[in-house]
Amino acid sequence: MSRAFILATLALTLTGGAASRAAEKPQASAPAVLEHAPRGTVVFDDDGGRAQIVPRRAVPSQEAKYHGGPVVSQPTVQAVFLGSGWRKQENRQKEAAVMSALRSQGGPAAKSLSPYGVKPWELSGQPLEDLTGDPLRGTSISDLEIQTRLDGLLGGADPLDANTVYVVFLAPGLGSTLGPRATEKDYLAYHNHVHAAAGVIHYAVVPYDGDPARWAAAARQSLRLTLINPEGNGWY
Amino acid sequence: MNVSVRRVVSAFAFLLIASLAPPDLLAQSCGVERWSVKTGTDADVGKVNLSSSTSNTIVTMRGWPAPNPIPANNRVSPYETTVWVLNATLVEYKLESDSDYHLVLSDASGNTLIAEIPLPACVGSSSPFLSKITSARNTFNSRYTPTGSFQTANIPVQITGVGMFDFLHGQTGVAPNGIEIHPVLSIVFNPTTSPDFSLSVSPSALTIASGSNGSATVSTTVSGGFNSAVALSVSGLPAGASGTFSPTSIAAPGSGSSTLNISTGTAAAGTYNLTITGTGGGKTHTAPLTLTIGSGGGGGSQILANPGFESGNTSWTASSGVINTSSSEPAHGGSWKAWLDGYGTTHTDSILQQVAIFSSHTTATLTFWLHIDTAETTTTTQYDKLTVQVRNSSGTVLKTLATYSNLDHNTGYAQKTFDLSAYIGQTIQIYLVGTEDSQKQTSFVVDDFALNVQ
Repeated sequence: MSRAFILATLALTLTGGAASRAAEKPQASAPAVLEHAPRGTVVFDDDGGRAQIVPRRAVPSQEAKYHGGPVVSQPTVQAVFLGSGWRKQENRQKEAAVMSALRSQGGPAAKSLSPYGVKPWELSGQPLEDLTGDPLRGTSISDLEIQTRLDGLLGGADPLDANTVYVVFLAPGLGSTLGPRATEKDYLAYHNHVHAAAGVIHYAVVPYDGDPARWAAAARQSLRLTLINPEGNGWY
Repeated sequence: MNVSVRRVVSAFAFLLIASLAPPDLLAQSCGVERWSVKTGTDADVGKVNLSSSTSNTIVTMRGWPAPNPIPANNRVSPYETTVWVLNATLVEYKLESDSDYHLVLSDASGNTLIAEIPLPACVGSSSPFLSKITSARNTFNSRYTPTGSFQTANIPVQITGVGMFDFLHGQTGVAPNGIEIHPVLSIVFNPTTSPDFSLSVSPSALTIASGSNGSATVSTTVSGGFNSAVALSVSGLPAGASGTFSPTSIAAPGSGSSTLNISTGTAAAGTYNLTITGTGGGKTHTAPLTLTIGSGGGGGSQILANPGFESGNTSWTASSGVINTSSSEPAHGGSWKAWLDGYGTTHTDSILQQVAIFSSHTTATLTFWLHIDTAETTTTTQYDKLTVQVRNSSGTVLKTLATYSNLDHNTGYAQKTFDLSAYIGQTIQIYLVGTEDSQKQTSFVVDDFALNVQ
């Protein structure tokens, strides 16, 4: 067996080791962060970086390639329900439905992620909730404000578990913006990460969608992208 | 923490922030990551010396070692505690959703770096930067109207501001180590630059034994279309000592370097303040050099500058990030060392120092300490290599002293010794180059060099 074949095989399963080692040393060149990703799937986020979206418009599929960064290898998925709309009783049923959809896609059903070095996810039993009300401006919540809220939710805890991914479900009626983009026109969901005091928070944001099937599908797709490409330099 | 408690804490925290924050801050979208450092409300802001500034270049800043981890609320000295001045081209600019003006700066070679001007309303009132940020923002507004899309400028600027390492996440124009000028404290468009040059010497202090030799590198950079040769001289040498430049002047357009070779001869032991003077194109500039002459005692002396890297990335020409203080690969002595390779991808790193071995010597011996660790498991194949060479001042290889590889990995440091007496009377380069193949890292870590002459 050739050295190249052995190493290519290992790259699928041991990605974390090589990437973390390289990260210890100053990089000679800026790492590829969502460069050459499928057209229409990457946008600028609120502070000038790049983030990956689940676009409203269909885009040509493209086989994912590995770009040297980390993946979330043994994921725990933590749902976060954000927005005052979740206080309403009629929305509680929707909350339960999307949790069920996420749960059903974990376990053996998620084994298709194994080629990327990602094990089936476990869904944390208890969702977190931030029901503090409307966004600071208008009717849409920006990605920066979501980062601030996540920092508030998680910042006082112990150092964050690098294998936990947060899926933020926005309440019905609460819009979302990411840089100059808005969910109404551009995306069904997106994922991003932020370096908080307690560690790196990897998260997906899923605005409410009146189409339950599309809502759940967007959540699953954004979660999958978060797991295989949590910091923009994994698989995409 | 259970869910209900979390909910209460979250609501309380948000309401607390909302009640304490200035109204104009709440009315805007402001940043999150390292925001205190970016705006001057961090725990270390008192370490920033606002009373002086230091000129620098984009390429130098891009070569600084990126900290790991990057502290959330503290500064990495001196990079984030110094006010830097950059002359560059403002290529493009944009208003970010966090209300920053994102400026992409470039040098003549196309190396880029980001500078950001925060919205004053996003800067805490306790920040010592606030008034200058406000002024810089107003200056920018008087010329441009940034929007959410990049607009092209291509205009010469002089940017003054504080360094800040940002996280790499695909920003436009980002330096490979994430260094930015953030915040910008002033911006001058089309700075009036009459033709001129600047002069520097490295190291700025030399210790040479009596009756022995040492060297320093004098460098010049030009600005404003300066185009003349720069003649070099040194003054302040004590009686019995001598100094010569190689070359004696820096050819037009006046940007380059020269090696100052100092022979202490019969000069008395002590510390002397030398002045390096460069003259050309009607301009004269000076740079100080402190010379300490040791008592000697008839023994040999070490003639490499910054031999243990404890002065950081000076006196050596090194690949980006090689000379660093990373605790992942501890130094042999002190805290700095040169760490070549270790990426696990196809990569080449090198370090080089030029040194003159005067003909008055009879022996020259090079030593250094080497540590190799690797993820390679082979016991037969050299996949990753470190080559140690002597080259002449033009870079031509005179001799390959040794080649080490992943097969030579060791648990600590081992000292290596080479006889360089064959190069007495020559100016040579000590050159180490590490090459790594596409998989599995090998780290070549070197430290505590010495070139001892008698």
